[in-house]
Amino acid sequence: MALLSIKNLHVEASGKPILRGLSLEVEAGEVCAIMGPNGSGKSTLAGVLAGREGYVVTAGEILYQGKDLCAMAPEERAREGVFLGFQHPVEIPGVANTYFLRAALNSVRKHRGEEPIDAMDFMAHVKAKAKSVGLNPELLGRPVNEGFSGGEKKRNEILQMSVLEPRLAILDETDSGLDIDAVREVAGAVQALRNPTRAIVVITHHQRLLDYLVPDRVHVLSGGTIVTSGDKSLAIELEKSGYASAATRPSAPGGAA
Amino acid sequence: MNEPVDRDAYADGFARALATMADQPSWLNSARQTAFASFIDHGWPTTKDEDWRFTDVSPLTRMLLLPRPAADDIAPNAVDAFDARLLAIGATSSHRLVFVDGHYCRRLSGRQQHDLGDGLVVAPLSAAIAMDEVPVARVLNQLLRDQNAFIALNTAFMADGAWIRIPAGLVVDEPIVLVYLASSVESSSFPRTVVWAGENSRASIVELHLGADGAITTANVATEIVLEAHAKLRYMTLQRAAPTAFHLAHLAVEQKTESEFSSRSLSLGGRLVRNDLHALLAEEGCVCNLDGLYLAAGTGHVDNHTTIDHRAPRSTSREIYRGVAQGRSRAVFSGRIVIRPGAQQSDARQTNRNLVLSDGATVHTKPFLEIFANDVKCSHGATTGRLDPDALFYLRSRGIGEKEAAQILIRAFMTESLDGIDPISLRSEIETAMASTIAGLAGEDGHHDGSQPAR
Repeated sequence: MALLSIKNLHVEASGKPILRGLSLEVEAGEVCAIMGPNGSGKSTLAGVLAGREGYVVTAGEILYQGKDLCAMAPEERAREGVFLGFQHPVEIPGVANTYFLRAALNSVRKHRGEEPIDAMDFMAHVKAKAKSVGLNPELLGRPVNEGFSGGEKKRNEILQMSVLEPRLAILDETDSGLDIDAVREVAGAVQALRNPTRAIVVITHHQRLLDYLVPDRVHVLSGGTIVTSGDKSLAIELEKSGYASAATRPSAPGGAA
Repeated sequence: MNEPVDRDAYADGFARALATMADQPSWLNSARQTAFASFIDHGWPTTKDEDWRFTDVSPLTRMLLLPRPAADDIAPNAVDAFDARLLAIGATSSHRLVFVDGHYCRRLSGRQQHDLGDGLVVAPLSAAIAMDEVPVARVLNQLLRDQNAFIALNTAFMADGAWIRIPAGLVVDEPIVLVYLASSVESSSFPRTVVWAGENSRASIVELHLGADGAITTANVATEIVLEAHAKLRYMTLQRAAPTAFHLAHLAVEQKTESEFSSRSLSLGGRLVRNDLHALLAEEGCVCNLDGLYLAAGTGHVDNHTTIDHRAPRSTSREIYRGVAQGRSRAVFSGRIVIRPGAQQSDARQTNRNLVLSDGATVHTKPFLEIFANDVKCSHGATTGRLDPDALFYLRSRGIGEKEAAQILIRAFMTESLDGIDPISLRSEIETAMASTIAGLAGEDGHHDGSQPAR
């Protein structure tokens, strides 16, 4: 059974159809890239998976570990191991980053039947994690994302992923707004979080992130559906010839049904 | 235009009150007589009065607001009726006076605070008046003089309160703590606090007003403060009345040359709460910082009226008031800034931010700038909005439950008003005391009803 199985998904936002019959399977251990032009529905897909308000699923289903994902509140999805790396991480004045992270981790731990983590243990743990994702530890004590640079915000997302240890991580445009060095570093931090039980879905419209975070599979999203799928060479080809040609290319075997 | 008072009942009450104050100095007696006459003449304010437009005091004025005679003895367990965490605020201070229903309670207070050797006086006002301390008369009834019915009533009926004299040059490290308790006995109290901060002095005062649950009590509070040149005073009031109780407070401060007054007003509940603060920046180069937090919950009503009066050149004022309205409550903020002719190079900034947690809650905010000088900096801004849905989603997307996420955001909003509290132990005592209040705000009331926030 696939970790994530999306079948014939139709989604509307503000009465307008965005996803039109999207199907996708993601296996544990896999890194898959979803690429596509602006307006193709990439961020809608990320939002629907995380449970963001404002989307209406009009047909189809999303099964995560065999369960109906759409029936779960956003916090339940997170506790079950779904993680969304935000394209635009939210600034939360007055809430310290570590406080937020610990509240999140303890919510997840409680759901797993584990004891809350001790504050001192947590600090040591999170400092080590911050180091591993290249986030300045000083930012841990600051309000969540407030006054962070674009790169710091994205690193903070990866830090949260690293602390929460999701089964399914969806990284929405994690490379946007980053210079090439930062892309390499952030991709490296994500690469380090690859493991056989975890799936990582990388949503991007640039191939450059995938130079450092090499995907097992690449899917092209256009007009609200997956139009073609392939391996990492598809991303390179897209970089050369653009999305227009991909839409007419026959789907590679093993892609979306 | 004003609502007439029950003349006979009040005259009777006033005569009885005066009988218990026979040994007071004549200047005070005559001040009381004048105040009472003013009260009878002017009557209660009504919503036709611009200052009281959003605050209808008729539920209050239908009652008789008369002082309760001093109890012979306060039961040792009297404090059990109050939230222990609120009572713990500043409880370790050696300068601490406790009053119950407007009367000084020696048993609950710290050691007798008169004459501490360094010239600092922290004493019951009744004792200072009995000794006819001359400086008391220089402040008492000078800043607050019968401006409205409540102030007049306080002057007429005040039985006790605090007299704090900080001598010139003295730096007081420990906060001076005044605790005014409204017990479960249905009553009215008229606490009066009088503060004189001498030249170059530094001090910090915390005034707590706590009410026992279930009682219909009225606290009619008046506070007068004079800061001499270069004095620095931090003044924090924290008020939490029962949901059935009324709390009206008038604070007036007069600042002399280059003095610095920092007020923090934390208003955490009651059926009807009205706080008036009037800061007179009388001489050059004053600094006036007003921080405020008000919480209106359930069917409560809280109204903050502030006036900062820049009368002389080169003074700076900063005002930040935050409000939270939940349930079917109503919150009012009116911030008036006056810059008089000649008060050149005044710099005044005012901010009012309101967080509305339910459809049934209402917020009125009114900045009111009157500028009569041309070389000034003056700005104001007011916002009223819901919890940020993006922030709520962000927290929830990390596994934090909806109610806890709302709580985190509400706490963040409210505790910004605590920034800068010194010492830090005082801040944590206040945060601890506020925690359960904040926890009670999230959840039941449909803060997350899908409506769009105003931003």
